[in-house]
Amino acid sequence: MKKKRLLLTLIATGCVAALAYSSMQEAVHEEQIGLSKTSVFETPAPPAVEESVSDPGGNTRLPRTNPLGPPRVPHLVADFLPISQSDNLCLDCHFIDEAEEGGPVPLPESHYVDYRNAPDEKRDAPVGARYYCLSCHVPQTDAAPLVGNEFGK
Amino acid sequence: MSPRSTRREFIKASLAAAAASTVGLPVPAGALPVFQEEGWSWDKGVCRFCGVGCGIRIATKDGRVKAVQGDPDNPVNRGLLCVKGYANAEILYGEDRLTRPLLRIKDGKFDKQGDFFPVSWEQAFDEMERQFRRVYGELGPTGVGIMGSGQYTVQEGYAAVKLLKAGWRSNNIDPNARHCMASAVAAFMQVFGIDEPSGNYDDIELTDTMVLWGANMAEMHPMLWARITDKRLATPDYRIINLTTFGNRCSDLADVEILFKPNTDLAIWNYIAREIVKTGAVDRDFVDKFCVFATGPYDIGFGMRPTDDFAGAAERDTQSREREVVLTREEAIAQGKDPGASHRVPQDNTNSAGKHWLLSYEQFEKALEPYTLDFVAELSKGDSEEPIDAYQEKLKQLADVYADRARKVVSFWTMGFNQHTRGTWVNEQAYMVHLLTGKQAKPGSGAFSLTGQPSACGTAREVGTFAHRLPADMVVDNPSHRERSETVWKLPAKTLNPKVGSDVTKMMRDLEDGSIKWVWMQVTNLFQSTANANHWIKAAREMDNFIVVSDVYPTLSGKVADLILPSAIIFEKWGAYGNSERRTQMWREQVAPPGEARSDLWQMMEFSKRFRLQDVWGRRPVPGLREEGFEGGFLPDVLEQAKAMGYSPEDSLYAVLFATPGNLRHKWPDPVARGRENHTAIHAGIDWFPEKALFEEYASFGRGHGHDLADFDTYYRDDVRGLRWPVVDGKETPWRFNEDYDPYARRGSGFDFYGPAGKSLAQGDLGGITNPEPVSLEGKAKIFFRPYAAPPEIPDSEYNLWLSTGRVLEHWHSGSMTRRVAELHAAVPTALLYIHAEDAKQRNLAENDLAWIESRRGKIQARVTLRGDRNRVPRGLVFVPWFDEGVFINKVTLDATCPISKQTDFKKCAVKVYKA
Repeated sequence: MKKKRLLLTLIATGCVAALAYSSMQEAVHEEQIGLSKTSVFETPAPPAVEESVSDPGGNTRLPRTNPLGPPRVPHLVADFLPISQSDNLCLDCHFIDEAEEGGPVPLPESHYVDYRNAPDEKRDAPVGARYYCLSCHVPQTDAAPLVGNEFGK
Repeated sequence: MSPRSTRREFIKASLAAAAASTVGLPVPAGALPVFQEEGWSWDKGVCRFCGVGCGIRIATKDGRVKAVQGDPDNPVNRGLLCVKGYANAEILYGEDRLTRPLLRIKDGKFDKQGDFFPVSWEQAFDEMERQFRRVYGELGPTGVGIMGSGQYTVQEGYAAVKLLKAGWRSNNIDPNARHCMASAVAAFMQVFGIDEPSGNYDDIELTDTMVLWGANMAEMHPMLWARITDKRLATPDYRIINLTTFGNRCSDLADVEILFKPNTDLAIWNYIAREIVKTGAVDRDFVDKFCVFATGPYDIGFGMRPTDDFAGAAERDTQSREREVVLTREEAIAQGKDPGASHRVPQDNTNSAGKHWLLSYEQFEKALEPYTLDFVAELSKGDSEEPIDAYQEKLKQLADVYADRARKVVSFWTMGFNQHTRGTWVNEQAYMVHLLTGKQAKPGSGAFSLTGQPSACGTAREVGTFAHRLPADMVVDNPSHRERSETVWKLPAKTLNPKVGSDVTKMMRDLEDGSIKWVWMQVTNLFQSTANANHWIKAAREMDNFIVVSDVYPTLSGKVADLILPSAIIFEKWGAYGNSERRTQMWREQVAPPGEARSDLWQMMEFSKRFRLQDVWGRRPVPGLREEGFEGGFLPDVLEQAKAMGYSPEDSLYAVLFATPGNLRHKWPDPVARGRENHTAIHAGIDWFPEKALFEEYASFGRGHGHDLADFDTYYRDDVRGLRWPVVDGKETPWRFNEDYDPYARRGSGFDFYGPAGKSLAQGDLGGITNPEPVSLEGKAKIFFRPYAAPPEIPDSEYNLWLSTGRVLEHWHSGSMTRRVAELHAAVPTALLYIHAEDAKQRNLAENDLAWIESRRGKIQARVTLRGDRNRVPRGLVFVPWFDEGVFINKVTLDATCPISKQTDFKKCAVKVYKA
């Protein structure tokens, strides 16, 4: 009986010890996790961010993470908006046949193909489904990543 | 002519010509750059994000995702993706992926005041079980709950419903889709008797008129917007009208922007209906054959708590409108009452808000009478700087496109309608106009409720992860529905709880008042996304409860939880999603989940092993249960009947609900896998295929009942990119209720609105029921009259601005995935305050300044933007997106809901803004 009780006590202590085993080093405070390293009860001041203010022309192409994803826009965009039925200033520069040194990046072949209605043909102009550039191509601010990302590594 | 404008002209000409002729050089078929890197393995999949449901191609190698591109073979998007879609690869790889369970511990045991410590799954489930038994013992089935998601896979949602309802006999399961689509669903059920759109995405190409109502498609359904844009640029006669409370990117490409005041959409629809009636544009043939008229009570409150017991002092005035409303001048006019007098209206129908009865056409016409152009224009004009004549012209144009017999029309809407204290009503008004004109369930013509989440349709709505639901549109408080479910699930009679449980907002209130003390949150971040958040985070941290959050990353909800469980993300598990056009699509597991992360399905199956029938199928208290055949306030002991059925009281819920003989027949490995793995099966150590088994079991509910899904393997065929249900004899249904396309529409009917729910109604007039004798409405749809109603909280002298909230293109929901992708974060790093330049100037606010946004409920800080690169708000209204954990705008919003649907109105409350 005594042995059984001892055994049970050992097991019980073991359970408690097992939880306590996670040493203090492994403790994670709620303010250390998530994307905002604050308490949810706080009302932090968000940092100011700067939009890219460089003009088109002479910018370095930004690297792609997803190799098949759309390139980011290295120059400011706000001044060229809105994209409307009659005006698309993105196309005014980027709808060209060949790249020039330091010049606008030409649209890729994929943008001339209407996959819905005529997938085997290349048109002479970009298709309507590709018209709203901002759906895929986004300008950047100077904001550093909140957490790292191991994709591609 | 400058080179620029020459090029511009050339583009326009080319786009216009494209439709008429084929131009240019042939290229190889499937001309998307197909990287064929060494050893990459490609498979088809579905985007993780919005309700469009784009098809993707995903490449893996050595257990890692290598690339993602749009799938040219998928009819939804034909190879295109928005910027988020391309990030489907990166969302798996944020450095702080949860890989171990985290439990709050102090002094060697669980303690709500402790820090998080990594524990084993065994320890995590031990504590979870201990807490469950404590609460279940104290409060019974109504004391526990699951907060689920429109981002659950079909199988996950089904497992959760089965575990909670068949196992634990609770009805407290409700998804974040309650905040998203509930109003749309309630309207479908009330109008058609069955959920989900009659049309499909092909309507975009087949129509000539596209009307957007409170749907910022350019940012929220981008690849559908691409289809609309394509059509508009190629078709001179195509028209796009954008109705919105602030200028947005859709306005940029639309032909007409109609900027209206919050809530006045209700009045605008009635103006349109009045015009249709007055100008003889009613399709009498269609209406006489297929429709009836209906209405309901107006005094239905706003879904707030019935008392102000939990209201902060500042909240009381808004909260009091739950009990009594003083009609605004416009409401009085709209109801034919004297606008000079004061009308105090007690809200007597808060618990019977969905009640409705038949109305004569004459009464319907009479109700529309006050909604003249002058009245509605003055009431609804949202831009103080717009001349009233110009605005009136636009309203006339709008009415004309609906009335014009030569025009087809598609109306699209999303959160502007659904997140609305009269959301069910305004959804019903869309059907009102489309049904009056016979522009419904036809190719290119129909009112189309767009869904926000990737599987609010496929999982939440179709599987029924709601407090009132069972699979296939069935409900818990219908005895024959319960019987059917008990038969399919092989449960003793009266296992299922007939009392509707708590919707998600109510679950938060239940946490606050101690009615619920155990919650499992899965695939969602509801503490960030629920309105009036100060109440709920306080309840989570301070009340005696146990909150479990299963997620892939640490979120705001994780931060207020007691236990965080690391979960597998999409493509680390098998799954299925159903998009807005009823297209169910599936994917295989592509890579293993990291560390100790486990699929949600594994978690539920594993946890269910800890419960025996004797723990849950004995007599259980359900306070307030009053149902024919049930003892008042109790669920009966069904163990005797269980024994008679061959069960033992010692049987585990795992054996009874999941590892059933029927399910075990679906073996793993399965040839459909093509060599891909199944970590749910691996981690569970089983030789059966739970995702396939549960899908087939779930599908048996809907087959033959208008919700037919094809068999599992069909969705994995190389030539299939999802199928639009009902799928009958291998054929999809593009337009429902239309005899030409829907096998369920009776032959010879033309149109058959065969939805079964609510098709027997009493008769009445605008004052109420006059003849309770029910009339059968078989095969018919209802045209509702719904009045203009003011919101419960309107800007005043102190809180003098409207606050609207929503999303932005680059971020999905609470940002837990997209903000961990460098390009998306760098594009929109923080939630900004969109404010009109004049309003900013008055408050001494400049670009990038810090401002407080404060309501009666709370306040937060955000940076000002005046750039106008996306949202251009009018005077008197501000907008803040909710993706940013650090700009916790839901502390400010109001938890008023549509009383019928229980969906929160995130689009309107009153705030003040001042410099920080």
